[in-house]
Amino acid sequence: MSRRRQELGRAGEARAESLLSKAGYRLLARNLRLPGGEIDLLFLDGSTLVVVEVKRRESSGFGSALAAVGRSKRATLRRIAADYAQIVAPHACVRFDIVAIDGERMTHHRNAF
Amino acid sequence: MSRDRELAAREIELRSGGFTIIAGIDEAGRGPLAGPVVAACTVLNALLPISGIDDSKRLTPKRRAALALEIRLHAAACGIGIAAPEEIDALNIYRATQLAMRRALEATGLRPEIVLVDAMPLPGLGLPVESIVGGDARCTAIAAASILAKEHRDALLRDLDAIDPRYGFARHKGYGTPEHLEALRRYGPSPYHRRSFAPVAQAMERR
Repeated sequence: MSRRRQELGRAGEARAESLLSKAGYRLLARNLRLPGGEIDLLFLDGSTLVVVEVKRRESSGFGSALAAVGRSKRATLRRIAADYAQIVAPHACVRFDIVAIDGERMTHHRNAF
Repeated sequence: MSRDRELAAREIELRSGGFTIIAGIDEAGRGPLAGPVVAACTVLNALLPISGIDDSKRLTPKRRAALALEIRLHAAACGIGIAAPEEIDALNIYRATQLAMRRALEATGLRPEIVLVDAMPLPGLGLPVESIVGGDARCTAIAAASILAKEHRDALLRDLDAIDPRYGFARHKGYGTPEHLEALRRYGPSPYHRRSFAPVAQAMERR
């Protein structure tokens, strides 16, 4: 990944973090690197663990950011989140949200998959 | 940024780095002339966040008592460690405080992945230790420990006051107030006084 794309990715994650913090979620971790993959943002909404994938697309020519979180990415996130929750919170509910950034527009999809 | 988020910043960083069991340790009662030094260790549960945790010195007694209850209910683990006045006299207050802190950690029955301590090294644990200057006002786990330590010590000093009411422990918690110094001159030190502390040693000489 180029330097510029990485920087854009970080900026997107920061925007998503502030959006969800303002919605009252509590941030637990950012860029949480786990065996098998990385969770962009991990929040607590009430007593539910919320795994957030931030997806940025500069143009919507090849489909929106939401659609860009593919099947294998979703499976990976489900697996690593389950492993992590097993350690830190065996009884917690886990939810998967996507924050889709299409240019200037940012949309929060609760329970995206 | 809210105060809760400000205090959570270091723990968010640690959790992002893969740490899950994060302990905070703080102490109460290094300065007083009587009573033990009390340390507390808390491992907070990230899934049960508590609003309003702050340095015990920034809270009203009522608010502090309510938060102490909430911390005991919601924390993953809490431990209290005490070093007695005789231990303070034998070791010096600095090392006695470290002893109380080690006991507090042991009392949790947990082996945390990292220990955050307010402004003090804590060697010999065999664990990563991060000493944070002003930690009781800058980090949730340490602030929570400061609340439990203060509450526990105050309760102990009220008990001592019931056993020996001559000095007014319930009011000054062992600190060197004029009332306390006057009682020391009059009655000499009790078994609960720290004889290595100058005002107590002077009171002994004078008798």
